[in-house]
Amino acid sequence: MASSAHSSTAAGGSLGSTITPRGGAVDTGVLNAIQSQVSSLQKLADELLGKCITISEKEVMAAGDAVRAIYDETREQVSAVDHAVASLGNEAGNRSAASLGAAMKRQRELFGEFMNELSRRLEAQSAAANHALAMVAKVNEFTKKVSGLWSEARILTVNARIEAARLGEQGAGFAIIAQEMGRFTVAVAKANEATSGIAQQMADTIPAIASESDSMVAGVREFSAHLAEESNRLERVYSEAMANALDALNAANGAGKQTVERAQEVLSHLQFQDMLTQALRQMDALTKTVDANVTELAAGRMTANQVAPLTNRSVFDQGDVSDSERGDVMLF
Amino acid sequence: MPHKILLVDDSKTVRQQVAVALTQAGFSTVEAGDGQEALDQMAKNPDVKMIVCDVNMPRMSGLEFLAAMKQAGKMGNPPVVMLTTEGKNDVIDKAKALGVRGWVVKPFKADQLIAAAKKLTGA
Repeated sequence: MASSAHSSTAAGGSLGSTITPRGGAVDTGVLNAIQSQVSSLQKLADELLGKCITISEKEVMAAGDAVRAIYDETREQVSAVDHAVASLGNEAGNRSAASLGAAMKRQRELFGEFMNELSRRLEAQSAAANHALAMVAKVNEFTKKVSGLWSEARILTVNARIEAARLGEQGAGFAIIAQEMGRFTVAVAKANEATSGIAQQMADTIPAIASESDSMVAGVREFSAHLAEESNRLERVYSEAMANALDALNAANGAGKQTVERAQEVLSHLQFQDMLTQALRQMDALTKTVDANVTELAAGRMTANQVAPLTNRSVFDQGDVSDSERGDVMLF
Repeated sequence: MPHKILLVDDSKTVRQQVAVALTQAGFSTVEAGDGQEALDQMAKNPDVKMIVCDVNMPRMSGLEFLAAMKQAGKMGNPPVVMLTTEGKNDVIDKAKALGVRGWVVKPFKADQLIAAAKKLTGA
């Protein structure tokens, strides 16, 4: 068939002229053969074009759906990150952070005041214990003096008894004095002994209390210093964490936005599909035109000169719009 | 309530891509595959604030749709922006005479289309 069609090409040029012999007589057999060829071609082209459109549309739609899913997901992430950044970065967030910082500072101050007060009281306790210890020393001194007086009183008692015995009945007064002095010295001795015992117990206990107080004061001071250090460290960590969180969120936000832009770019590349579809449709229209022309020629309703030259303006030809202007919105 | 935009194009992919761009910018969209479907959608969606329309479509072309809208006294409200592969001045002039407010030669740039939609809808 191809050789028949080739042999009928006498004048060259347009398709119409290729099927009209120079003599003017129409070889209907050749025309029928060509028509049959073109019809077959059109049928095949129809099937092919249909498949092309269906498959490309389906595949591109699937790709578009996938990209759209990524796009939507990323957009949600960006939105969430935006919200987080806004809440951290806005005035309310700053106030919240400032309030937290102020609360931490106030708590540290209150705890510091409490520790200072505790320290003052422990120091007072220690001072009181030392004072009590001094008092015990005085009591001891007093007891010794009483003890001395007691010894003298005993000597006086003994002397009074000796004198009473030497004077006989005349010394009865000395005997009574000696008796009373004896009871007095016993009482003083007992009191002195009790006081000494108490003083000794106090003397044994108070240094331990004072030592314990001093130890506690030192401990409180150490703890207070440690607390201040920890509090400062916590504030530094908090500030650094806030700054790091903001940096991380800003970085994530930037990455998310970049992904959204990429997705938009991918989607924009998929716009070739529209041009492809239109090109295929134009090819389909051209094939149908050829078929119609051949049919008319074969029927003798059209001469070769009446066949209009085929026009096939590319859909990629943007007419009066330059490439750089494609995609620009012209508003009227 | 987001502004509603009617997308008229025989290509599903183009409708999809325009819809993604516009919904991302806070608009909602309804779609039509040709001019006739667009007229039906207009009847169903009187709250449409803008139309983005292709030129070359089967059954009823974009220019035929514009003519039908003009005949119905609806051109200009909502505003129509043509999104097409067509860039010949005579075609653009015909559309301008029918009252279109904008023209974009494919492939479109999302940021520009969004900016135009915001301007024309007052969003």
